[in-house]
Amino acid sequence: MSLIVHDLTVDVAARGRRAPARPIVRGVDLRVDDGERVGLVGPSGSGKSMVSRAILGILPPHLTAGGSVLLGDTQMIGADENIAASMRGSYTGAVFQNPAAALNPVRTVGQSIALPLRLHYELDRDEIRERVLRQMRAVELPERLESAYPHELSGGQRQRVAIAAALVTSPRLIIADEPTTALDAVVQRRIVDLLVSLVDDLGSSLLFITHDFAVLKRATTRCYVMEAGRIVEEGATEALLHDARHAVTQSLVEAATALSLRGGEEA
Amino acid sequence: MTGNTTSPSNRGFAPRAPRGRLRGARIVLSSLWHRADGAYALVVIGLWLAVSLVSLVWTPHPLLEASGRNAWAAPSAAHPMGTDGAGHDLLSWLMRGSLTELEVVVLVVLCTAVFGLLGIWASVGRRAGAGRGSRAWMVCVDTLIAVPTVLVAMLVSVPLGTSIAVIVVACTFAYSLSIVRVTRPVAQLAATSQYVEAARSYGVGEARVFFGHVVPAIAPTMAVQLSLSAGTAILAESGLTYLGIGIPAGVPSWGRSLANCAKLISVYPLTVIWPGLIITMVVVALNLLGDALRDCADPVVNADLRRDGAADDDRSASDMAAAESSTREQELTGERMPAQEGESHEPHRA
Repeated sequence: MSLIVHDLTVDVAARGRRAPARPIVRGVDLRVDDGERVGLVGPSGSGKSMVSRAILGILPPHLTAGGSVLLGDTQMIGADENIAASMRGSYTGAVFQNPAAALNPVRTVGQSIALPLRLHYELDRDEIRERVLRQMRAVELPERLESAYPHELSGGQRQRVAIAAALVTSPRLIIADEPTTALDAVVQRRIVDLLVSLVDDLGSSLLFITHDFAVLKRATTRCYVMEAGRIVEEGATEALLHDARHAVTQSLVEAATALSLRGGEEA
Repeated sequence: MTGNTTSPSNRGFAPRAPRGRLRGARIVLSSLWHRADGAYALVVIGLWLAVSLVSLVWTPHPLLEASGRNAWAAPSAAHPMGTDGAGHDLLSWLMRGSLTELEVVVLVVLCTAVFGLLGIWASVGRRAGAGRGSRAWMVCVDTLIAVPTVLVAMLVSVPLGTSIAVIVVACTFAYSLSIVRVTRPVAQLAATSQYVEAARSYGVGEARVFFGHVVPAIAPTMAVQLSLSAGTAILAESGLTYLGIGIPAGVPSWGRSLANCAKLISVYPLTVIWPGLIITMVVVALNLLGDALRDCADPVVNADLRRDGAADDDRSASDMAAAESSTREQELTGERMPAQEGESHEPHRA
């Protein structure tokens, strides 16, 4: 089991009498099996991104997490920072939303992709370069971009670099937090397919967070629906598309359907 | 080679871009050299360094040679810049003074950089308590900035006496606070940006996040601020030495020469030109260096820092613009036909 989340809560920390603790995520239960691709969907502001940050242990300092997050055998809530940091990047890999800000502007593509390798493995420069190039080929980036800087790349290319960096250490669990939201439709589809095929090749599991049901259908087999910090429904993605029970799920499905050109399911 | 930019590789000065470990530094130096302000700064600062080193072993006249009868002599063959009030050869004193200035500048810049970084870490570093703690800290900084530097210098001179330490402490106090104030927005932007979050998700620890990701983002601002503080440190040295709380009396320094010559400006008006001119030239050089460095060391601005040699020869600014509009094309082409990557590489070159 790659990920078990039980009764996860995320609160804004209390600051005196006038600002008591406010909950953002309440009592979330999630499971992701080995090799499974699971979605987490919900309207904006439902707390999905906070769940992914809490799982990785990188919440902003004014938020606190409670409950239990088990990555394999390691408990992440309340874990010592060194242990948590060693899990991030080697057990988990993460891809975030905004390609324009996803890469360090003063590091080349090669250096950005090599960073997780340098952190978690003892490899010499040639081995690192070899792995970086291999990863770039896997995400379909031309080799000449290895020494390019992020501002020379398009949004889709930057997201590929982010995916390459997330996958270069072959992590067991990949968390993708709205990786395609900022990209246009054609590139979106390509990126989603790429991510899915890479995850399947590695045999890793995927937690795909999004607010777009159309993307979810392509990327996941099972998903959870969140609203206002709680999980309101879960089930197989196909089943949810045809037979949603909760109002939020229904409205999300309708929105995805209405926005697609044919007004029906995407092929 | 297409030639409608000013980057050196297109002018043929550097036919082969340098490779190796110090490649970045060598490119930055050559870019500096090709700018008017960078070249001026490099020449003046280079001269300053050379003269300081030479003065350690040789000056035209021994420093202590003084002849009361020869005070305030006009420039001559024996004394190219004349003599000062005690009969010392002005040229020799200015040469040796350059060493003192070098010490002042190096110490001030180092201490300012260290304390400036500490101050920035206190305001954006995670463990240091972003949020409440950092707001309180910024209020402190704003209050302390209002304290006049001269006042600080005078206070510090009580325990430390008249010494270079007074200058260093007073300047570090003023400039590091100012650096914290000026770089805080950029540092905050970097610290809360998504690439830092991504780095944390790879497992980067807090110290590495700060030095590897936040510091490079504030480096351009800091370069300019540090160069300004280097120039201002020299001016501060002059002022504080004039007040009697800077460099002690027996040690040659530009500030002391300037002060001595300025006292008698109504009697011997031309002597003050020498220290004044030298101080002006060096301070201007330091300021220009900061500006030029900020541009030349930034890979976004300096095209030569990107890519290895071969690709540079083919790229010019206009090609970059064309490339941007065609990256979309490349992306689509690359996506549909990954196997034909070699052909779809540069569709706009067909």
